[in-house]
Amino acid sequence: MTSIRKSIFILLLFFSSHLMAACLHTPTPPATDQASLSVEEELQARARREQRILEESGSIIRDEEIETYLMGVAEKILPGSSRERRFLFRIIEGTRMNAFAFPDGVVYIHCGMLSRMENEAQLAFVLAHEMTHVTHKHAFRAYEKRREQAPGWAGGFGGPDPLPGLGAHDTGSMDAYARDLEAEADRIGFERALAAGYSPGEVLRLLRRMNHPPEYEKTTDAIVLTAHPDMEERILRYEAFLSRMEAKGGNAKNEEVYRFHTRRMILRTARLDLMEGRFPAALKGAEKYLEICPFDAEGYFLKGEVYRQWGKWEDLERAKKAYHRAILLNPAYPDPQAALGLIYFKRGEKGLARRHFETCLSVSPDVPEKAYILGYLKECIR
Amino acid sequence: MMKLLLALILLLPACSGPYTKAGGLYESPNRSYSFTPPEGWMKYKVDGSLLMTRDGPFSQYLLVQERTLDKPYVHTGKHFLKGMLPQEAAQVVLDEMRSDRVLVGFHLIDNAPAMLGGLDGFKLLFSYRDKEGLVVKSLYYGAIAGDRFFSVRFTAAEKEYFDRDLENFKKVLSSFEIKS
Repeated sequence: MTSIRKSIFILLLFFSSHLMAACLHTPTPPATDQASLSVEEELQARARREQRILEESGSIIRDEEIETYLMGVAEKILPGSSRERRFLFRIIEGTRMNAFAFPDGVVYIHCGMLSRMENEAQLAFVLAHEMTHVTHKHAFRAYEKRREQAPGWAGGFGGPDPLPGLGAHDTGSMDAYARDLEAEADRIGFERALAAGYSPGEVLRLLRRMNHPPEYEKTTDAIVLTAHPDMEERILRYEAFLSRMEAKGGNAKNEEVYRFHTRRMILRTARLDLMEGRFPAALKGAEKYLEICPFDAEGYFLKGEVYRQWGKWEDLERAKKAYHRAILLNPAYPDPQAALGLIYFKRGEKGLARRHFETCLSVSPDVPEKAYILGYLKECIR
Repeated sequence: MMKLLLALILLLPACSGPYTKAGGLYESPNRSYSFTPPEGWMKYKVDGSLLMTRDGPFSQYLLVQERTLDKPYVHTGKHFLKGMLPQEAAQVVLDEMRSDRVLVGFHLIDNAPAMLGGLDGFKLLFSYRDKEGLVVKSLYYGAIAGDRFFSVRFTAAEKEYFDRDLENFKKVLSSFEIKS
């Protein structure tokens, strides 16, 4: 495992919601004295270092529209937070259903999670949970707890393996404490989202989906598998919250608004699903995107790519239909022309193949596949 | 696969047994391909692959692989299909690389048709950052022959080793023959 990956892995574990939470019975953040302030400062400095690794990894998606939207939802959950610039939201390119927060208020959420959630209410519960980790200083408290349990442990700032053992596989008591913190983030986050008027049942719908994702969406990602080992327990916990507090919630789901603002994440996730060979998930993503943006050529091209790359002969007709639709919507779009050329070329229909390859090069003379296309054209003319 | 290979190789210097000196004509055990390894390099065989290096795999390595078309990859669910064009096979390899989160800052420099062992294939040139943030560059040739996929890959630290050892890779490539 490379150090970058290792660092990301450690920070994902440490700062993921599994580890950052507090006891159900200690809702008040700890008092901040001078000593704790310096620990907090060091934690924040470390957070910034870890964030820099993430930012330099090339996996951060900067999208002003979605970041502003997330900030707006956060403002509903915790009024005044955007004015105080207390939180910052970043999107990670990846298909995981995961989000995590740093102690300095930077919250990362995977585009796969944004893509697969159904409405703003579900998003609000996720953000409220992560924001609670920040507001209730869970990283600091987990750090202090670790020091308390192992007095010789001086913390890991600057060391080769900072904050060792705070992961999910440490001692039972640390696991128990992490679960307490998690429970607190669940409870306070739930209360905050309810107070903002979000429909309370949505959190359960989301958790159940995360616990039992459709077969076609499953990944072999160890981080997802270990981040929330107690999902059943969490579901039971939320069921208990619901029975006590359902009446306090509102009806807000804001499905349409959510789908509109997350549309580009849906398209991105579908592309990633295709890249990772999850064809049914990619197809669902492409279709979901096209429901929101029915006149978008990129969506049709992606749908065509899924059908073509799936490798089923019968799907090629569907692929052709999707490519033609993309061309109809954007005649200057070279990619569907090249893809159609490829289909016809493989079928031996060289006249049609040539027409599409030539059109592709005429609308975009420097397409990345140019060298291949020139080779196909030579054969078509031969 | 690569991680397993590199992990094994890291452990090997201590016993230094499985490394053997490369030289002369190399023929795969099933006689499906042959080539001439660079003089003075060490080679190591594992699971149908042959890895060669002169200064250690983190400086440079040459990897020759043969796999059945349906053998699954680690990071992508895609695999090769019979009748795939070189461009389509290249897409599968690229998707495997891009799905591997270890390869930070993956950058595709070139993707073009190329010959491998006398067959129509593809070549990919790409770079990424390794564990120390070092930029690593890789030149990858691949081709499908019947129900098998062959590849020859040269990977090296971009600044120190890539250009220096590129000629050795080209010699391997020009001597590479696919026999089945």
